[in-house]
Amino acid sequence: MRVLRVHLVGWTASFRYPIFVTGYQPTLPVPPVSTIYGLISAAKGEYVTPQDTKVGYVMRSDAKGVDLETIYMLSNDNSVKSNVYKREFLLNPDLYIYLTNLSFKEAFKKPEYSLLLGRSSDLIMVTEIKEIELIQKHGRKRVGGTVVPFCEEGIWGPLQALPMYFSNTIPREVIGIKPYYVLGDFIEYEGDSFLYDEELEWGVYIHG
Amino acid sequence: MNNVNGFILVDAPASALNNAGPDVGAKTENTIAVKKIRRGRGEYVYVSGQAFRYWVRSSLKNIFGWELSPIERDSKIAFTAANPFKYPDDDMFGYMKAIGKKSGSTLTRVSPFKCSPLISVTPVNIVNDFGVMARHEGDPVPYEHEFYSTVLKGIFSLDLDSVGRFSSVNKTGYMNITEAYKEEWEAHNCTVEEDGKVVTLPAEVRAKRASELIGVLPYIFGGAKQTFHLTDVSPKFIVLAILNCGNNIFMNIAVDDRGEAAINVKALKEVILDYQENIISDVYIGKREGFMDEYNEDLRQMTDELNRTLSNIKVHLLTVNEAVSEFQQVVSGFYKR
Repeated sequence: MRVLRVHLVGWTASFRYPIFVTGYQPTLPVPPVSTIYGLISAAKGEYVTPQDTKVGYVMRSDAKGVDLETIYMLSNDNSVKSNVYKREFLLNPDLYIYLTNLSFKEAFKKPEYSLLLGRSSDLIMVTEIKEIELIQKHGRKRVGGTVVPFCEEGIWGPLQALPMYFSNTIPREVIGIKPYYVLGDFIEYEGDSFLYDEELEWGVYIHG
Repeated sequence: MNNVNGFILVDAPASALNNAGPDVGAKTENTIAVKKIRRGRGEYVYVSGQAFRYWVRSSLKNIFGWELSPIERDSKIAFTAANPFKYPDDDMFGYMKAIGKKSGSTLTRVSPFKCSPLISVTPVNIVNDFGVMARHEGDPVPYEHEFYSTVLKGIFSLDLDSVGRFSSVNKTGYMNITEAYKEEWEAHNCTVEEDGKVVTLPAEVRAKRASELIGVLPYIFGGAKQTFHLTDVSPKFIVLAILNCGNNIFMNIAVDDRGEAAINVKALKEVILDYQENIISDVYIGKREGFMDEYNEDLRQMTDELNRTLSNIKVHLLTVNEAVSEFQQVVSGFYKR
């Protein structure tokens, strides 16, 4: 399958667990699919959904740190309270995105909005845009750095309910929420649900 | 979208610029730890993006006399003004203001100024310093605090199009103002477009705000424990350019060269060449004499080579203050096109 592969690097990233609302904020080891669609939308400058392109991705990072952050809690009576909480973040995110729609090349060459991976302090840059061939490779391969829908045979890992993408309405609504395996680390996999990137030697799960 | 892309290096000899509070596992109960990330066997210290923004914001007040948006609640004034017409920092740093359902919806503004944390380029040996408070009668009170010597890297971007430009589109981050601000925007001679959906301040106000935010960089002051360490946090090396896109291209310029912070001159040259079509201003490189002087020759050579090769842009190698002040003119000029 012919795909567009975009390599992005940054210094920090964070992906909030949807179930943690207050207090300690852990980060997911890899972004949910909705974050990837958000990133593509930022590059394109328009709302992008799985109808526009299917996506796969592999993300790695070097380490995890914990930052202290002050938040201001606002309420309707115009009172404000500040609070300090701990928020995890990832160091040196290294992300490969695979897009089945090759026309997104221009969007990543000249991204419309500043590219971020998490919050406004998590700036990232595009380092390579390349058209490559993802092949079907039978037998054992390394897969990870991504999320995979629950029930995919031969995959194991922590489960988490995550959105696929968000609607463009006000307020935005989550679409396609389902359980995913969160593959922070790489595992060995024998099935055929992943395509294979020969150059980087890992399997890629295509969502959408 | 047109963005200022900036890269800075901050020299931090014997510093403790941002702390994580008491170190729970320490021998003594009152050890204050610096913010750090462990990676393998090394530790990287950092200053949160939030802290760096605070330095920039407070320095704008001190250097350029910006009247900062009030956060405290006074008897009749609300806690945060969310008034980008009156307060330049509301404009440049964004805001969120919850309003009751009756009087309208919640106002939010995406910050045109975005910055990364400042992160040490190399792993750091963190020193645990021992101090005592002994000026009172009775037993002295011992305490400890951590500090480090390192070079910190940071990048930032400033969205020039959205400076001084406010929308009332009902979308998170873009509902900056409502009809209730009409008096305010009329008083500030704003241009109103798209039936009042977009309101823009006069070009000279936008130019002033954007160029002052850049102009404050050589004068930023901030950080924790300054009484003990007095770290000069102004950048010692800086790269500035305007891009017509949202890519943050200067992220790979500082590297760890066998434990020493190094400027990757080749990488800098490569990104300028690779993105020459996206760079819409000259590139300004500023370096303080005495800081990483071993790169002076390489940087000069690179500048000469690029200036021979590139036709549409020029690269200027200057001191930090010169680079910033010349780039301020470029930013001002952007609004007068």
